[in-house]
Amino acid sequence: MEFLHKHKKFFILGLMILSFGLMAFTGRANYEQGVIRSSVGFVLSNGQVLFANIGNWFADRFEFLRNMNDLHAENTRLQEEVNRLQTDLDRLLYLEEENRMLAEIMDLYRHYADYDTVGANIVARAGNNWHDTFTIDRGSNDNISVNMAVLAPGGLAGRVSSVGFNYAVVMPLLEDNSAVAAQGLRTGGWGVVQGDINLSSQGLLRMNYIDADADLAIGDEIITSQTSAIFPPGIRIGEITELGQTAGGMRYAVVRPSVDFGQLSAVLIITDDFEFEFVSE
Amino acid sequence: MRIVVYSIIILFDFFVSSTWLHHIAVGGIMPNTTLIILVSYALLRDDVEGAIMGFCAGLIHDIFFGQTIGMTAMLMMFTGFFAGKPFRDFFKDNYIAPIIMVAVATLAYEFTYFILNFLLLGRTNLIRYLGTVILPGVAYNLVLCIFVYRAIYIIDGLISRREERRRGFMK
Repeated sequence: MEFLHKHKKFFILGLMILSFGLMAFTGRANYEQGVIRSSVGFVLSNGQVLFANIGNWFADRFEFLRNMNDLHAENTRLQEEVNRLQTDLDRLLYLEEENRMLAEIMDLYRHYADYDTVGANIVARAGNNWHDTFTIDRGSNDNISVNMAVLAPGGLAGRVSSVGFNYAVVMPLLEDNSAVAAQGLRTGGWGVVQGDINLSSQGLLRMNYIDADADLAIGDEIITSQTSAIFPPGIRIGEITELGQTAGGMRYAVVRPSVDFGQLSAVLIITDDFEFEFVSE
Repeated sequence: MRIVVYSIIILFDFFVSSTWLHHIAVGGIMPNTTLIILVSYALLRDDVEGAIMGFCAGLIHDIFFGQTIGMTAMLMMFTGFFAGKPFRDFFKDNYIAPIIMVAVATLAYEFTYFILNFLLLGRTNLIRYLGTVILPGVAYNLVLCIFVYRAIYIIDGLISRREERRRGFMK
């Protein structure tokens, strides 16, 4: 300690150079995390699971105490809902069967049913106000690797941004530097759906770089495009709620994602690898 | 002794801020407890120890959530270093110094974080970010800093007294 105080400036400078070295080393495009980072992540992710479970336990107890009075009313209401849903379910099963038959005819069914998926729970979220990234409890031992597509009820939720042995970090669509090649379902107009921190607090996305001749309208459904390098085509992203033009004359659209990110607790990861590399000579 | 206790505190804070803290977010804005703990520690100890703690705390965050390791570590290192400098001789059981320091440190830290992670990527709408993310974060940190500083103050006092007693035995 005495030594450090005496050479304070050199110590700080050393730490700074170390930081820059780490940044330069890990910032490369083809960087894959090594043993040290994976093992530290292994320990940390287990701690997060523990804390998440404790938190959930308390949340459950709290919820139970708070709702005790309403339980009877709720029970009656739920019973009614079960009956109603049962009827709906029968109808949907019928529709699904019909849909399957029709899709088979169009050769789409085979295309989609072949995706291998893994379910995962959300354990933790980034602990600051800048990021919306979250941790899930599945990792490379469940065949998850970087850049796999992450789905949630409703459609596309994001992509895997880093992977450890038993955990993975997911970059959701809302994240500020997330970008997905997308197109309108109705007309096929292309653009790039990006996260925007000003919109993400309202749970919205922004579609930039829209084709000059693309025919997009409010209410259009947006899906992942064939041109995407990592996402399988045709996954639902959301629908357009607003169209506009930037000062520079670029068209943009505000997109409401079909996934409710506020309520997200479990996700589905497509473990088929869709990533293809652009070969450069 | 001190290293062990503060390692546990930093780890505990990492887990809490990534799991429980989201339940007390107001309007989607969470306090940055790591920063409060770091500033409190740097005020009570000194700049070099603040820098070491900042570097370690930032490194944990980088290893787990970061794309590039080192960015948060460096920012936190400087935050800890500069937070330990100006109030060398203040009354440590007074809240004025920590409140001022937490406000300044949070503002500086979040602002630099914004520049490095967003402005350089072409997000130039500074005023909007300042109003929606940075300033609410500073306000929340100010409220929490009163409690966190008190806790760190008590913990540090206990450790100091224990070390004193042990030194007494040695003599």
